[in-house]
Amino acid sequence: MAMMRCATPAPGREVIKILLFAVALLGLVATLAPPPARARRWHALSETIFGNRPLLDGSGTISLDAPYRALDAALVPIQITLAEGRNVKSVYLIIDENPAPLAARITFGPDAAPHELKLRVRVNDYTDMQAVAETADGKLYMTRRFIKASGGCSAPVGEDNAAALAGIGRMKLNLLQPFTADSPLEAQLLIRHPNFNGMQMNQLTRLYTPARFIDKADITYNSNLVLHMDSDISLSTNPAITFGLVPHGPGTLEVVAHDSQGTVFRHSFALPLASD
Amino acid sequence: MTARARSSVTASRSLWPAIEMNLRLTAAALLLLLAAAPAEMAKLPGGTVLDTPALEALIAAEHPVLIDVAPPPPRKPAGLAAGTPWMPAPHDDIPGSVWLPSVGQSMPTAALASWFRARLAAFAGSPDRPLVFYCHIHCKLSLNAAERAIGDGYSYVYWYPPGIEGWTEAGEPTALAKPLQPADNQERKP
Repeated sequence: MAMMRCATPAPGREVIKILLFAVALLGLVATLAPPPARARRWHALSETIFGNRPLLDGSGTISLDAPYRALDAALVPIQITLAEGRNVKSVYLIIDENPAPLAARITFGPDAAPHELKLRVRVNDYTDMQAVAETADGKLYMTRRFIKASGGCSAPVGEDNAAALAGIGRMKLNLLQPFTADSPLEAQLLIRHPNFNGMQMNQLTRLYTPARFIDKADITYNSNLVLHMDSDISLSTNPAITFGLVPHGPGTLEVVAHDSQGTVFRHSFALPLASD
Repeated sequence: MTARARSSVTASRSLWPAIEMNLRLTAAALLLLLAAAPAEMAKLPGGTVLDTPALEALIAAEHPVLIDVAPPPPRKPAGLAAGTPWMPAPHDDIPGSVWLPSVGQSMPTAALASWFRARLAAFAGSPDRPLVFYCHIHCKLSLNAAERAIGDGYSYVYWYPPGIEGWTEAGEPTALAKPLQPADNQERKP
């Protein structure tokens, strides 16, 4: 029988080849596609956030880096990198298992250098994370990552509420590159704010601390928009954002941040910074 | 030391006893660490710690009461922007479980503690019925709840530290959970 089969030339082998190929393809699909529960979740989320707009493969446009296993679920560093020349006008960060999954939406202004973005986020559970880039022609490009972290939403802020609120709205700016006029400049903005999400229990009073979080921020340079951020309870305590701008000569970088209780925090930085 | 040892042969020779001593100490420390490792692992005095195969076997053989003590579904925070989707993920747990959120808190109110005691008595039926407590991975709530059950005189209390994440990762089936909470605890306090 075996001899017979070996002797039969092309057709049998072709069938085997096709079968092998199909098995390989199935394996590939299985490794690429998330398990059904996560896929269902993403389907529901993408429909809510993007309607039925198609989400194109983001490779070559946007990439998302985050630790596979986070050390601290309340403070997970993530980095979004945008390819040069893709004309990205906004970026969405979605953390599927968080109760408010759209963690941040960042829209770039004329003075932005939209290359790298870094944020620190809370992660409630093992989750898929998606970064979506919207290009100027209205197309959406998506990249996905799975990360292991759990309990970031109920983790206490780490100090008592009075201490967490002291100095609220204080800001600090770090330039990560030397200041050169008309060259892209990477900067990190730190905002002191507890970003209470309403799920943290005060260990002494046993009551949940009411939510209070940064819900939007505008960064301008000499009155030109660098970026606008809509954010919510997924940002970590003391939000930090690393972004790029193109300063056309020395000037003033102004930050106006709002929180969910309607408080406005403003801060101006003269660039180049005095210490540089 | 390595830099010096590399610099000349004579130096490395004269240093050998020190290196040897170091190696011995390192080996001894490693052995000690290995011996201490099981003690470092999860422990439940008066009860039993389970891994996934052990839990599977227990479910098949003894039909224990499976008690999920994962935190309650989140309450929508005030001040969320109108366009921000609020979509708490559905909570899945091991099929056949009862979900008793909050009962694993480190300092439950007297009312919550007595509600838990009553629920446990109703589900177990007898102090000899095996009880399995779990929540999320790295979550202490299930350990707290298991310790309370042991304190209440249940003879066969089990703790499953990998939690629902460990169960799911092992490819085991899950089912959509519905929280069971005391009537006055349905809503979280603001």
